[in-house]
Amino acid sequence: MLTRVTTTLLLLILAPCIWAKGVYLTAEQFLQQNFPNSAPTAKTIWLNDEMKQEIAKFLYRDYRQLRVRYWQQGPRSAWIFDEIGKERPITIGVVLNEQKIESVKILAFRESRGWEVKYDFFTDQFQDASLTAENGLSQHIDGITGATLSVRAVERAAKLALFLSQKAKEK
Amino acid sequence: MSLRNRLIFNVKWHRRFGLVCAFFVLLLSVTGLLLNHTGTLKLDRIKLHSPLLSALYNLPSANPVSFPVVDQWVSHDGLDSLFLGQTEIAQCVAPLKGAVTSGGLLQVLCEGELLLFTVKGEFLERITPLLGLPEGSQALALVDQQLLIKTDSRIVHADFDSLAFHPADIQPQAWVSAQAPPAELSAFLASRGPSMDLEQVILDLHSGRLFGSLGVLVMDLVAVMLILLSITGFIAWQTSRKMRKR
Repeated sequence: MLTRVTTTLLLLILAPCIWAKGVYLTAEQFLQQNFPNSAPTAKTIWLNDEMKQEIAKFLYRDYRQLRVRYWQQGPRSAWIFDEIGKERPITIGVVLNEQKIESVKILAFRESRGWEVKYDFFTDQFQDASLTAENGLSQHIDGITGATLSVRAVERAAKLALFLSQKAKEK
Repeated sequence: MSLRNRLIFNVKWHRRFGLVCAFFVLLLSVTGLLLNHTGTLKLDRIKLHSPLLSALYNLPSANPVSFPVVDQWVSHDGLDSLFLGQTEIAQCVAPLKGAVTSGGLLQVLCEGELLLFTVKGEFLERITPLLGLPEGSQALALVDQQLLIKTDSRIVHADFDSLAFHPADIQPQAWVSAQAPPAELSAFLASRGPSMDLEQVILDLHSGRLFGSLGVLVMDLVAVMLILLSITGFIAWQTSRKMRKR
């Protein structure tokens, strides 16, 4: 009896951690959800040293990639990045409309903690955020206790999408 | 016990505890200082390779794999690093399954990810199953400069412009396979071996965990001795004060 109760309690405690990890959306599903009528055009933006230096300032790490893929349809664009929360990459999808964030979705979460960032109550805070002159977000994002590193990873991905979208528009 | 005897007793034990603890106090102070500035010193970026550390941490053994591409070699150290020649160009999940060059691109297949580079080894992008790479991708081949990927159940060709993978009805003569690299590269890859972050090693040295449960026990004993060192020191100081008053 005691074993059963203990097992049930353990399962109840651990279940959110186990279920929280994994792939929630593939890139294809993410694009279909956000561009239901017709598929957006796949594009790439090439990064020069100057852009990489600017990116490194708000990502707090070197950005080694030479080009970034994105999808565009009219004024709307979709971006997918892998950003490390604590140890494992979180795959984050960002949809922009006219240099403002339309939506943020967590496509895959691989960390053992911080999965709360996948919930809409958190990602909805990014709606309408734009990039400031200092490459920050124009609006404050409330953190989540126990998920600080994941929250920062999502913020970095949002800034990166806005930054690259701005550069793509300038080109 | 007379005050003099109490003083002698405490000073004697204070000295003993002090001598035993001296080395550990130095160790804890130095490692503590380093840990306090781990970000500034970038200790987490320093990788240590040593057979002793491999044994202490029970690290997995690495199996380096190399593929020849044009006049270069693409190798994986069997842990997490990918090399063009002896230059680290990216990190990817072992095992390395293939590497080819076509259309000015170096294409490298690791476990569950396809990495694209310029022929000079500059990293372009990483394509994962989430972005459309077929699950169970096993090997690469080039037919008429077209990249073919063999999966568990089919063969696909990759279109990197639209990031699409279409079924292919071509069967390559051979899939690229790993080969023994030159002796110098082989020795380099062998020297890479499993590594640990310096930060983690210092942290485990600080807590004693580097030497397993025995190390933790020793650090516990040192902590108790430091407490006793403080107590005997305090008692000795009080006793000598009382003696001077008399």
